[in-house]
Amino acid sequence: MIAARGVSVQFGGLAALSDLDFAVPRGTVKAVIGPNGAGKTTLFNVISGIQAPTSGSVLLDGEDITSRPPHERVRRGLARTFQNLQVFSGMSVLENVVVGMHARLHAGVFSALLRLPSGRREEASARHRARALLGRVGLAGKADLPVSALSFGDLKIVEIARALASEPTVLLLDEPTAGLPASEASRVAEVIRAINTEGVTVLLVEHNMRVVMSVSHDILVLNFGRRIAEGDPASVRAHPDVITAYLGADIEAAHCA
Amino acid sequence: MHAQISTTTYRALAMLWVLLIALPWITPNNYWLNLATLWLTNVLLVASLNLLMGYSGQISLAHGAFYGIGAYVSGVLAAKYGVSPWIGLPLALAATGLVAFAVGWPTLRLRGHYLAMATLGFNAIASVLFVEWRDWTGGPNGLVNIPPYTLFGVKLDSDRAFYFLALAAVGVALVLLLNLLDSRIGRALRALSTAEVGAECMGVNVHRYKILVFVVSAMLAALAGCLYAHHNAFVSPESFDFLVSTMLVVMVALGGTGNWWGAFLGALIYTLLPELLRSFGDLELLVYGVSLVVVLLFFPRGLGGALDLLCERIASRFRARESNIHAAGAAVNRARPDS
Repeated sequence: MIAARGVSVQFGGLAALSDLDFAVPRGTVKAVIGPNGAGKTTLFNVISGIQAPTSGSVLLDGEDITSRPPHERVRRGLARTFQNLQVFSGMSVLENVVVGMHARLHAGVFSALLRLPSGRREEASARHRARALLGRVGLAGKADLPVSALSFGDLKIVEIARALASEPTVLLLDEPTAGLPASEASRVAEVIRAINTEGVTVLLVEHNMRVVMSVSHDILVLNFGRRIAEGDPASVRAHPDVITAYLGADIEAAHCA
Repeated sequence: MHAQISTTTYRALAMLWVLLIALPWITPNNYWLNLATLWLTNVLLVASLNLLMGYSGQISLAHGAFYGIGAYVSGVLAAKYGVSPWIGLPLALAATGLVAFAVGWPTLRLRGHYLAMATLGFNAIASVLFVEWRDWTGGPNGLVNIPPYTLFGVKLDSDRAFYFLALAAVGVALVLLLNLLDSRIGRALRALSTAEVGAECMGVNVHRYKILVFVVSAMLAALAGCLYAHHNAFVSPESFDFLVSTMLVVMVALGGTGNWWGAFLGALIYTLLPELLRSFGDLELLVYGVSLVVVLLFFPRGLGGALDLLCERIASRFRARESNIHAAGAAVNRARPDS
């Protein structure tokens, strides 16, 4: 379970997040939606540890991880993808995924320097698992290509595979279908559902409403860094504040009139 | 940016070393052999800095000083206290590693080029200490009477014997370095040098790895320093001053930052250019500057990058020719009525 308690982030005079409270129960999928600038990516950065909150705390399975650096959060089972990609250029697709296993592998400096057999075995099995993981997300044929040869859509999926490689209990997906054609978006939605069926808790920022509605158990709506609605897809869709935020007050007024 | 480390890299290194073993029988005189020895220690120096610059995106402006600490620790222990250079070697590496750790720990926490600034200052301090700790270092006149390495009671002070020692030492160091790069740690380093935030969110302790790479890099420079001190039998402060540190940064860039073979090319230039330009005196610096600008203008990935490009071109032309031959063969076969 991942939760935020009273999280605020202040950039100078701008409140990117104000006193935000929410929790994603274990094994569920929660989507965070909201207009641009609502604070969704800031929220992800706070949860993954890149951005320290001005106040408030982040809890992973009930434990306060607010002061833990990002790499320790990964060790504790938190993984994420990035809206604007953070792939490791100059590496193959397979190697990118193996980097995701970093926290689960053990070979240290001496093992590396002396090329100890235990380290080599670990490497071989990591590569093997990475290949299997790429097969699961439908990229088996592209494992040995340099990442520079892949389309933006494929790279989004590489990032998901790389995050899964760290064996997370909680997965943060930052706009996994942004910039993808509809066919690929539905493929990503399938992957998300499959990940969740295996017991991984998912927190998702997404603009594609078809994907949001089809994968999430719960939706959190942000606007100007505040929660304006939260609940199951049907109730959120009908929530007046959500309609205002998305479509504008005038249309709502016209609708009511 | 990073040349892929593979079994081919190991093989190429082994082949190069086999050729280098034969060198003493090929060179016309010891002048060339001594240049080759100098080149080997320079390969180690440039490769050590290349590790830092290419794999952590940081710049050290004190590699001359680390080179010097290695040389002075081992040299002083041997010349003043009669400590065997073989014992001085690990002590020199440990001392340099500790110093690098102390310099790197506070600065590598910060994003940006704070290490460059800290090392810039550190090299100045080290240079002053090399001069002022007169009782130990011999001051500006240098440290004299540094004994050579001995092996089974035999002094390795002939040019040929020392060449082989340097070949062995640098070879071992380079293999260890390759091993490190071709591992979980090397992969994490390549990851953090291309996407730091991404690496951090994949579980890579970026701060720890940056320090690790800086310490290892400084220790490799110290190893070069030990070899230099016991070969030359004499060291003086100006061999380790800020100008040397700057030159090393230039040689990494010239060879190609993050390019494995770039270090060999950078070291080659660093070794040969002073010999070629000796008659020009102070013009040497100007030529260095101009060549750096020219290389980086036309080959932003350095000479190593240019070499990669050349190899790639030749390979693709070769492939194209091969497929042409195949196509022609198929056409001939089709044209032949009886086949």
